[in-house]
Amino acid sequence: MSAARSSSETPAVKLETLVFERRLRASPSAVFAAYADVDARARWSAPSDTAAVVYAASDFRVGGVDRFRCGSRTDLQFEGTVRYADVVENERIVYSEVIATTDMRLSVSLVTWEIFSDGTGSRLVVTDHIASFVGDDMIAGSRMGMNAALDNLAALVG
Amino acid sequence: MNREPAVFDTFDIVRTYKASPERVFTAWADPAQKRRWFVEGERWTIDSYETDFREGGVERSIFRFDDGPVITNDTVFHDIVPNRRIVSSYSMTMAGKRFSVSLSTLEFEPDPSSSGTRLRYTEQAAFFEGADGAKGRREGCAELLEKLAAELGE
Repeated sequence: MSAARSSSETPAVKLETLVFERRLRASPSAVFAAYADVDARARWSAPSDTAAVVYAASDFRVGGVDRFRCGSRTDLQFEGTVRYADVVENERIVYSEVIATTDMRLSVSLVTWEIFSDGTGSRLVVTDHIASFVGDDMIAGSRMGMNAALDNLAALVG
Repeated sequence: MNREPAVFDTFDIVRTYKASPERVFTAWADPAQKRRWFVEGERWTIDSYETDFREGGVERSIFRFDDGPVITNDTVFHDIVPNRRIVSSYSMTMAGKRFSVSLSTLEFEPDPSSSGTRLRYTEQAAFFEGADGAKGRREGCAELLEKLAAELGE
């Protein structure tokens, strides 16, 4: 897809590191389970009532691939591909995520979820290393989307 | 029991080559060339090296330094713009234990002051227990980019 563009039209890649943290009442195993369950994940990862995430495939294990579409409920304009690089049960999930439209690739991220036990609950730290091919908007969108998803997750698991 | 938190780091290395962007890109894209400068090395034993250089393709190498433990590098190519850009992620293990996962972005540009190439390598890394850390990784990458110069005859 991007191969069609000539070099003069290829803008510099914008790189950023986004860090998100949440204190949750749920145990690390409950937080991990809410990620591992793809039906639950499709619900909490939709950032608003007018948005949706629909999985076409999910294979949550090292080397496994998820494919989904997301966007507004009436127009799932984005396609996502997730590849799991590391999974440590109840503790850590690392994946790459490619986001594209049918016309062009928008970003590649490397996302690390760390779940620490914290008293009777958990502390969740998500670190998103993102490379955007379309400037700052994709970075702002990723920040907004992950914050909304984690708020939904917190509401779901407690 | 909690694990040690991951250590995150981002670094970039910019260097210029006399060779054109097309030539430098080919040194990354061509499996025989890449094996020569990226994988092979004195005192390194290469147990296997397989690569599939295309978007969604995987590169996997298994190697050892002297009589040391088995080290693996699993790379996925996410975004390839010929002669311009390669974005990949790679995961490394030693003796079966994963110690890092990184996003690596290579940008090839014509060097404005010559007919050569300005190459910018950026790595956004997560290091786990047992990793040497960012300093060692940066040095290792700088050495590889020097080996690339030798591959290009510079």
